Amino acid sequence: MRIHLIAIVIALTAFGSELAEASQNAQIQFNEANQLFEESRYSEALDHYLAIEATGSISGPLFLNMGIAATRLDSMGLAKVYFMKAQSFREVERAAAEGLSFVSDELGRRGARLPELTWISISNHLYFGTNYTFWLIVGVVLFNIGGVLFVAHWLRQRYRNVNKIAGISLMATGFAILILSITLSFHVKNYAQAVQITREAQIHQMPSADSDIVQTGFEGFEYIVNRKESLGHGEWLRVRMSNGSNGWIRWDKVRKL
Amino acid sequence: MPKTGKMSILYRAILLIFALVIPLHLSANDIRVEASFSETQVFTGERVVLKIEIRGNDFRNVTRPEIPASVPGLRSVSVQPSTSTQYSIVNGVATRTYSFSYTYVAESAGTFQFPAVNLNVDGISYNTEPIRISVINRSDAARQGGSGQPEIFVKLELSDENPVVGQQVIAELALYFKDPLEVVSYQTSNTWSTDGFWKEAITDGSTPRAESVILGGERYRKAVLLRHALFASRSGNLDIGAATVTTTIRTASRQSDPFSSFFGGFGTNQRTVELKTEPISVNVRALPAAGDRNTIGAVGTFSITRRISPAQISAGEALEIITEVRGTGNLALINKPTYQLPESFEVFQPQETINLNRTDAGISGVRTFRDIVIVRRPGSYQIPEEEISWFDPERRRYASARLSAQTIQVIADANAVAGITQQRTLTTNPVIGVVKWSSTRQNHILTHWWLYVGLLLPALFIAYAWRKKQEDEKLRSDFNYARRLKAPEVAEKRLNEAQTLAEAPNADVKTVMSLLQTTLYGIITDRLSIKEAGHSDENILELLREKDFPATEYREIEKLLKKCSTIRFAPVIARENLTYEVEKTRGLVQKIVEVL
Repeated sequence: MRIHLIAIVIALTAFGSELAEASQNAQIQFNEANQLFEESRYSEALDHYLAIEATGSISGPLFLNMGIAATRLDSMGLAKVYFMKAQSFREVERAAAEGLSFVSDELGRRGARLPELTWISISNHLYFGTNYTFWLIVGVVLFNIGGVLFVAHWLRQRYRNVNKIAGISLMATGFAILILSITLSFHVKNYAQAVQITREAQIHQMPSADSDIVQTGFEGFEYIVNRKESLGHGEWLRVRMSNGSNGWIRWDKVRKL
Repeated sequence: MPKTGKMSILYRAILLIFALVIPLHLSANDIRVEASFSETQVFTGERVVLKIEIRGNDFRNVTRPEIPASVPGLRSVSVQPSTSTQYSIVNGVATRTYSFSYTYVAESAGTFQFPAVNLNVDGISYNTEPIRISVINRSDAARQGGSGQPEIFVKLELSDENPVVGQQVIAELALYFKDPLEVVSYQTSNTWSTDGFWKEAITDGSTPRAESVILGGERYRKAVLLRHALFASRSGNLDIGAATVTTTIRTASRQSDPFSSFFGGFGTNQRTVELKTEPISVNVRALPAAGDRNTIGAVGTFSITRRISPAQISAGEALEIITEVRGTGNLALINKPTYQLPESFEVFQPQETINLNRTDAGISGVRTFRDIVIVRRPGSYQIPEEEISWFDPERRRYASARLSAQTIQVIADANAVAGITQQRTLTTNPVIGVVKWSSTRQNHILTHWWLYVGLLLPALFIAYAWRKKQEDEKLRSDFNYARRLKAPEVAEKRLNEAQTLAEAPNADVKTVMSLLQTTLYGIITDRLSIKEAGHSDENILELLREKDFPATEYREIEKLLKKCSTIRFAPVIARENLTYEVEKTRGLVQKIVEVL
């Protein structure tokens, strides 16, 4: 037993030191990238930031700086991707929102806007704007409160019916939220959000450059990528545009979030 | 020093008119000095004339060339050179040619090099190129004779019969004829098949000059009628079809002067013959793999430069990226180099110009690509370094030119009128310093431990509560069950009471023992769910026996009950032992609870 405990402690210590080392390396690279940024070597700075992300270390400031570097390189599609990523970090949420607003204005000035259908907007929010862990916690809490109230109706005569109805309702609601969260979290894994990073790209009817063009996409356009349907089609991704159109786009024209 | 500026008034007037009316292509400094032999292959003992020509449109004073005193293999026979002046107008440009002629006799067989000759033209020093000359021993040539070649024939001669794709190959349509013949006129056919090649004529349209050559021990005169630069567009065996030349020839009545016109005069033995070349198959090799080089399809010898101007512009102004490819090769077939430009650069349709020089050596020149770029946003932009490669057929490998990176500063246009839409700038600054890092590894929500605890906990709680509820209901509805369940509690209560009484200073032995008897009766009848009253000791013991009560404890109970029954009549227990009896009873009660 004691040997097991010692092994666990050693493993945890080793894992902890590995994490600390990774963070330290990321910080060193981050500082170098910032130095390049200050020297107006934006392209090199962006390469450095990307190298940090490739190591598996991420942070809100990293994505924010990547977004700003991309705007300096006038790559608004790329900047949009990084600002959207940065928005999920609380410490840079406001700055990222400001960056997104700027990018949106810049892209708008270029005149290429795509109207977004309401159901696409809802889908986007449901798929990519929902924190399923949060809803899972809500479901568990409601389920537990419901359980306590239901038991209370057995043990205490006072508010017996109220406790019974409230208990059953809360348990059912909590359980429903739980099931829904788990189901959707599995479903969402088949989809990804992507942003066009090139000035212009064609959306084809079939995964081939020779097939009919459904629509022309412009930099900054958002797509929902169907990972499942894209499997086995090489360099082509099955996408749904904000206006509801479906088609195929080359993978190098977009960047997944 | 010969004075060459003594032109007649007429010639001066003509030249002045040309200078005013038509644009001159030759500048005042465009003077060419060339040296040539009348024949580059001669027999021993033959005479050969060295001619040094000065060509230009405006030169005055020419010094006599500095001819070396002795030249290997040749002996000079003229102390003073003969001079001549010739005027010509080609493409509207008047050109004067002043020439010096020296006569030599070929003395010994071998290949010799006549050195460069220096002379001054209007105070500027010029050097001619060295010339090679082959002197053949006449007796050796006679021994090899009998070539069986016809008196006149045409031949297609290629500079390289095994080129790579895109390599420049000079194709010459040469007419060979023996000395007694004179060519009066010739006509080349226009249907010369060169499929698979891009063909560019490099003949300037001037009258071909015949030179003396020796083929198979016989002297021929050779005149190049057509000269083309060919560029193969694909690899494999490409055929160059037969070329047809129709010539009118006559037998000369006298030995031609080597520098006489290619076309002879009129004569009586005149006839027309049609000559045809043999088709040639050219094995064109594919270009070696370029790997990850940035190639532009160029094959030849080039230099590539890039200049970007200006280095600083105002937002909205045009910027030029000028790429010049200069050299010899397939200039007309090369592609525009592509550069990685910042995305904010608006690139317009590029302009391309090509300036080709068609000389006997082939096509050379310069191709210029001019990218027009407009930058709308102020800032500092870098056009990264590029390495452009081409294939050099002479060195049989790829050569590269490195185009250095350049930074462009785009400043805001202070004079620009504010537009309707105000341009925004991103005021957010990058975050520097120590930041909090996390891993990109994302766990699925089903991997959270608290989810299972959160689901299991209420389930267990409800199950426990359900059991508890069932028990409560049974307690309320089943009296015997309730008695049985509460029996230990009641017994414990009685024992505690007995304990208190036993510990009192004046403890009543009878009362305590009676209470212990009641406790035993109570616990046994409660656990067996029978009436508490109306039982004798024997009856109670009988019930225990029926339940296979352990013998030791049975005897203890039997003994204790007997003691309790007899104590009323004769107390045999001292007060000090009462506590012991209480504890003993407590142990028996526990045993009864366990067994019953």
